[in-house]
Amino acid sequence: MRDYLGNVPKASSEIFFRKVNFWDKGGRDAPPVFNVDGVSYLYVKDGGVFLVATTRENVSPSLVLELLKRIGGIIKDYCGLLSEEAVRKNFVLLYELLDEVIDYGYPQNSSSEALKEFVLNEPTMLKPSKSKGDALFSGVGKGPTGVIKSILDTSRTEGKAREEIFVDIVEKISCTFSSSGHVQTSQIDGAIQVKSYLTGNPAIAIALNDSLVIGRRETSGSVNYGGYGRGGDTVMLDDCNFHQSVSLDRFETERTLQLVPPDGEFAVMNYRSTYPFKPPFRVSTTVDEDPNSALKAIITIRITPDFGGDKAASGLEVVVPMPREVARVHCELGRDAKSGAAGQTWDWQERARRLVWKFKRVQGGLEHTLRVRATLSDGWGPSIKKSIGPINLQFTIPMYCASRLQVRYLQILKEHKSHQPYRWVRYVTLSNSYVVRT
Amino acid sequence: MGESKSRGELAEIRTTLASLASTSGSSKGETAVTAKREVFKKIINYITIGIDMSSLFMQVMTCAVSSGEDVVLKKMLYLYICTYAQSNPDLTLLTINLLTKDCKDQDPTIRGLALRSLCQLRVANLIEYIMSPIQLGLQDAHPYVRRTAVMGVLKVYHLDKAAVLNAGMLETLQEMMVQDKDAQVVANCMSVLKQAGAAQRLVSRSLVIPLLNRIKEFSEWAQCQVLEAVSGYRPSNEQEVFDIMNVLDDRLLHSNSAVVMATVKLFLHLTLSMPPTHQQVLERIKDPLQTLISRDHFETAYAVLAHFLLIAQRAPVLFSQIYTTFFCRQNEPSYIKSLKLEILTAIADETNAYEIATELTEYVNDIDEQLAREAVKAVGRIAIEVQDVGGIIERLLGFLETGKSYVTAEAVIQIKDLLRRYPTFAEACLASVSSIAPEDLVEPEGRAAFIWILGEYGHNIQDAPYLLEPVGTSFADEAVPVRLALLAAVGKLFFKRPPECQRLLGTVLSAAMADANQDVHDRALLYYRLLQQSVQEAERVVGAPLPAISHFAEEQSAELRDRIFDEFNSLAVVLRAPSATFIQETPVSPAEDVLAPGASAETPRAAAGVDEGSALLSSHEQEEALIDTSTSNGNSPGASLLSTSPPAAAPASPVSALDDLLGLSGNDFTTPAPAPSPPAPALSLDPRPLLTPASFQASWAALEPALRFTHPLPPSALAAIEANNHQDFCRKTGAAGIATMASGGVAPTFRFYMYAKPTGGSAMVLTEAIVDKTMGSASVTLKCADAAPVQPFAELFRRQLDAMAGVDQLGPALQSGWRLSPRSSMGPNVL
Repeated sequence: MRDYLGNVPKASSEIFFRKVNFWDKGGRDAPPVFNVDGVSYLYVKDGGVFLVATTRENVSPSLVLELLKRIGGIIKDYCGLLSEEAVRKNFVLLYELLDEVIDYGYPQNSSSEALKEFVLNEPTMLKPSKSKGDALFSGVGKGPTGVIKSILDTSRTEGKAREEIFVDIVEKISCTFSSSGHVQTSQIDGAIQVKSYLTGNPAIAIALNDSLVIGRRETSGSVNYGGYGRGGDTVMLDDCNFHQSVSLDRFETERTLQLVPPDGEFAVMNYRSTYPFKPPFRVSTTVDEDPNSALKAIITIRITPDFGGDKAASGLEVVVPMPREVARVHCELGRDAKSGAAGQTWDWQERARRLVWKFKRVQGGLEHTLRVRATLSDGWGPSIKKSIGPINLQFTIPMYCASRLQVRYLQILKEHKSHQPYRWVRYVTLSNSYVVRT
Repeated sequence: MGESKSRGELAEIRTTLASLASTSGSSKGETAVTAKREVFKKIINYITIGIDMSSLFMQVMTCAVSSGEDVVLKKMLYLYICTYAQSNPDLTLLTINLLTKDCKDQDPTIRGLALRSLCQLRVANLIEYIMSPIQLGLQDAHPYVRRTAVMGVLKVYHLDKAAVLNAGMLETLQEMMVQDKDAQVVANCMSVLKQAGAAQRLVSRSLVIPLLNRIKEFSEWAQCQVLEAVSGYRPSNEQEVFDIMNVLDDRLLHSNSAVVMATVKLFLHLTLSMPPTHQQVLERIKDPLQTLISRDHFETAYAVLAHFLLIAQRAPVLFSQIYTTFFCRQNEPSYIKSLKLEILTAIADETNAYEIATELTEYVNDIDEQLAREAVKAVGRIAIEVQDVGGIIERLLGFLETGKSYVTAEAVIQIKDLLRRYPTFAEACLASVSSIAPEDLVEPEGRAAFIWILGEYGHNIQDAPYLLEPVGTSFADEAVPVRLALLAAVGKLFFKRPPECQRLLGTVLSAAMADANQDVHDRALLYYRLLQQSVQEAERVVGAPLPAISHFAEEQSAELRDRIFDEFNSLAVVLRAPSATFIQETPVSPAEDVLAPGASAETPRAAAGVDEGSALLSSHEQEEALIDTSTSNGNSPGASLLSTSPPAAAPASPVSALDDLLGLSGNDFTTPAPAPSPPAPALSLDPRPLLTPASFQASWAALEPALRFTHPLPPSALAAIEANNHQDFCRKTGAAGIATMASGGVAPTFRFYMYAKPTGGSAMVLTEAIVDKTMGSASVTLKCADAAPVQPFAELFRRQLDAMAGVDQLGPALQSGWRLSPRSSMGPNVL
């Protein structure tokens, strides 16, 4: 959409689409970097929009991809969200932005904050599509904040817009259970996301757990078990990195991050932990021959939410791939006394050969069971048990934090007494890859 | 329909513009501006979706000028002008006044904006108007204007290099780079100087140290640039290396992967000659890199993973403990999963192979077929590389029973490779293999592998002849590799179990000798003649036991990897090829910029249909080259095929007698193709010749052609050359010591500029090869200051071209001393 150097073919956008859509006969995702006739294409996909860069030079792929990602972030900061519609409605604004962000192919000014000075067009805001449902944390897997708001709001409509800052601890957990129910591998990928709509850009301080330990497994004393099961309050992370704006002067001693948050959304800190944690869901499965019919198998799937009853997971989806031998299934939803089957559905997707068990809301501590009667085309055999699965879970648990990282306090370092911006500290845990092997 | 619609819209906008331009009265000023903004927005929307709005140039100008003070409108006007300046140079001249006036505006934002637009017009003959605003801009009090002006220098440089040099602008930038207070101005100066070929001025100690000390002032992108520039600097002693690394260590904690990767590159390159420190660096970067790949941003993680793979191949031990990091996650896109499988394969060793193979086994059940195949392949590779660990071969054999035909096929291929490497494993494998029915294997490659195993180990497989029989019956319907494999297998098995195989051999031989495929046909004929001559001799040749292969060629040689490592943190790592193979650099003098062809867009290069690479040729040479190609037109492809066979081929006469015997007289074959090639002429090439594009061009221009020839190519070779964007071909020739300077072109014509350095001599052999698909030939021109290597090189080059035909099947690969790749191991071992 913007050609800075004019050294790639005019048809490059068509070339790109053809390549991406028919990569490997259309079955797989095209890699984010590929080369056609000496022109390298680099893309980032976000919100259904491809952000593509082309070059004839041997550039750093990380640089280009990070820049594209940043541009996606800028569009979100200005238009509230990134979607085809948002781009279409805001061509002129985006040209303005792009011209400031990149000059002649070289990145210049990429801070949503600093760009405000140069941008004159008003964004055309879109109403968020209601279909996404979940009020607080829309769009599982993407950004944490359900807030759709342009950063221009604070500066342009003085007084009207709310002064507020969001600090979200977003953790994505990956967990693989062996067929015997043990955790094989697990990891937490977390981020402290900040979205700031404060005028005057005051400095803020985010204080984390005192007992935060950052370091590799080899160097920390205990080899096998870290935080979990140790009783104490210790939060163990393998490694982390920080946003440019963060000053670490008080981090070593007080575990406090100090920064002047630029407008817009960004990750103050990304972290990673491979220390064991308590998995929020346990799944057990049994597969048995139906005593009444040789052509049927009975599969029982039991989900145990292993977190406090004051919390609830939303949008839990349990996906069970079925082998070819399974011709039909019929399910009976939970007869568990307390919970009942309200808000649960099951769906047999015959073409994809998978059974999807959905929950609107799962309260902590309450078990749920699904009894599946599967009709087998070839009759019962012991191999059936092996070929079901692996079961895969998707969920969002608001106000839950797997690593137990906490924001002790969020301080806005501004002298005004009358100035009381809204401060939001939120926690959310999302499934990244939650796989139960059978 | 679309056109008429857009025409209607165009007319509508034209009317609106005209009416708005006339109502520029003061009373309605406010509303008029709003209306104008709306119509301008509309125009820009149309431009973006691809409707040509250039015919409105005059109206747009008049309309905007009458409300000159509105900045929003002004910005849109500039956007419009820059879009259509190139196609309307005359009208653009009219805008110059407006732009230069705005360059002196009170508001720095407007000054910068006007200057940026002015420099972006890309109209060469307007440069005289641009120079003085740039000069002023460079001295502007506001950093925004200075930044823009610095980039403006580069834009002009690409249009008119002399103008920039004469004005001494590079020197000005040099000074600004040291003195300017604004970090972005400094960064822009660096970019421009680097592009203008003055990069070496950036690497003095007095420059590097202050830059590093203030690195945090730079934006994250500019930090990358500084780090890149510093990686060209060679510190004077080890202490300095440590100092630099200490200053930059916290850059590894940056959340931007671009900064981290640039730092990693710098660290790795600084410590190349300090092995213990280098090792420490590798240890140090492990954690930050892992954090970068764990973020949920797949695209940036992909770039980092590609670098992980490169490092893992160089130092697998480093990662052997953290193998679980590379286990696939269910939500990852396939490109991440594939890379992870490769990394897992690379780092598998005695300590982790079992766990890795166990994890990979889970992926074999994945619904993504390609992933399942890659997982089988990875287990196969691990079984070959880490043979001491038990349980892995069992997993491989287990894949045969999954009931998925593609998994079985892939597993059979892996088992075949395993047996080639370790024939002693045969006993363990054969029971499982022999329980496969041929009809379970659909894909040719899997069938061929299965047949190979039956032929090789048929004496231990009770049913072998009966398993082969149905394949023999359907011979004509099989793919070429299967037919070849069957011929070889039946040939071998015949000597082991003659009574059971005689009839099958007869069926297969007669079918194969009637085969339209030359390789199949020729091999069948060879067997037939051998048998005719003497059964004992034939057994000695055909039935000889195979030597175990000690080492499979990897897809990438260590040398190639080293070259890619030199280009760490660049596309070369992700695309897995040195940049020379995918960057079509026009070999110009180093000071000239690579962006030049595009920027100097007044020559409609692309429109003329001439590719970048041909810029190498002066026009008359190009004509000659074309004539050269056309002379090969006289050779029919079929006839020319014969000339590919080596000159020392067997005489034709005894063959005709056999022909009669078989009732095949009148056939046009005269030479048995699989005859061994003559020994390679004594020409050895430097494996990694080095030549700059500039000196290539200079030598090419200076030398007379030493030899010209046209070499016919069969379709399979043409396809192989074209495949993978020429990279395979360039890689193959590269492995033989013939490096590629530039390659390119669009079908049906491809051009290759290559060079090689004979060891012992000093003169480079320069090669131009024009491959023409329609002609089915390559026109090759060789130039060399020394006459001696030309003929042997020509022979070598011909063999390289021929070899492309046999890449997947049978070919002279063995004779010309290539290492076997696992996949090409079927063919050559027959003889």
